[in-house]
Amino acid sequence: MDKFEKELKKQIKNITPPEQFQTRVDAVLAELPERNPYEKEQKRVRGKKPVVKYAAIAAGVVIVFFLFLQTAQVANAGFLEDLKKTLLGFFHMEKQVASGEYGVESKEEKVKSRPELSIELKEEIVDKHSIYVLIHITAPTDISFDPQIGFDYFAFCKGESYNSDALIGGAKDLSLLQVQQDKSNEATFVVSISADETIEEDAPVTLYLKDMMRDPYQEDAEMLVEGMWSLTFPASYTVSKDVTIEGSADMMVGRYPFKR
Amino acid sequence: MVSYHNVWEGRKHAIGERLSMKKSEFCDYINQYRSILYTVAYTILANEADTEDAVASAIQKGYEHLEQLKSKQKFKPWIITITKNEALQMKQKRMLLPGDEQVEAMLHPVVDRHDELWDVVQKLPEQYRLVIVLFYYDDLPMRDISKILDISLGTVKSRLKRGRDLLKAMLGNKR
Repeated sequence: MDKFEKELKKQIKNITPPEQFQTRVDAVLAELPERNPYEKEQKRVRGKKPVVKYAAIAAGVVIVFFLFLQTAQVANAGFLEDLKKTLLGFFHMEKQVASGEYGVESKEEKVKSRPELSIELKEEIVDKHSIYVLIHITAPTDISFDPQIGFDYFAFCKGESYNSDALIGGAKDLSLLQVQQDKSNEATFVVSISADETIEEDAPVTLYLKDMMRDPYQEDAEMLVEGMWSLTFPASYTVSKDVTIEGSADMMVGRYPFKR
Repeated sequence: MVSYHNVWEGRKHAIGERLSMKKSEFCDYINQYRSILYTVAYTILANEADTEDAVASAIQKGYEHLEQLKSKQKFKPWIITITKNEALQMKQKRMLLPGDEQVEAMLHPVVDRHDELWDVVQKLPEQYRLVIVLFYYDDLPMRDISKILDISLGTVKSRLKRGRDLLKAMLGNKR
């Protein structure tokens, strides 16, 4: 840091909020209600019923639930090829299965490839304020996926291509869901956003990803595959319906054994 | 091989961690960061009344949506992002007409409590102003700045450099 920067830093740090601001913040904090941080979780446990109406599930999305025991089983290799895992289940939303059947409808798959890396859009779930996208990535064979691998930058934007002026603001997340068994260079990620604005139904939305890296949020992040990928899909709202799934005795609902 | 079980267990732990934040802990965090929240909001809005409103709104919104916080370690960039968004929304709602910036300045004059440098920083184009403030005021890592402003790391670096060069030129002209 040169002399100018040091002086800049010193003077900027001298800026202090006025007394009126401090008083206002004190008042706001004092007025905040006490919260029971486990209230939502407790309601989720109390509210279990044999048949659950889904808040937002596509009529045509294939949903298979793995309801986990305390010692969850590791899914077999290739389960995502055979079964579609609900993104809502991954995000621990309140769901319950009983018995029944599902319709299966495959979304059009989109693939963006560069010689070094292939990204395939597998599934998306959209409602007014949330987007969840499942992407399957095939990396060069010398890369083994683990939770430290991510992207330097990713974003959702409105339109059919990346446009920094049309970004959808909100809380974003990109998480590793599953590494392919026996193929450590293939993995499935979930990319999501809890949007600050209403997502226009059926309008095109683009997921933009830039530069796959290890430890992308660290100063010593390691570039793995340089590049930019855009995947466009229509923001078709998932439609709610009553769905039941044939359950079995060895399934668990939350922490409770499944009961027919 | 990373198993889904391990990912799931990690996620449950993170959920438990942020769910366990009570009011007192939230207030402690806010008290730690109230200065940077003021600075970010003021950088965007340039008047005290709106800055107070934006930060107050950000605190309330953050408290209501604590479930969006991925982990306590990310509280600072998270609450700064909310404050930035609140300030930007407030600025848009002012319904500025072309040429009304001068009217706004008259209605809500910038109180020149701060020094020459702050006045010059306020004159920077907005895209450089926030990067400069976040980097120099709070020593935020560039990666956190890129998340808060929703731009790539490369863009943070280029805006920082450009902002710095502009500041030098503007300060040089003043003297």
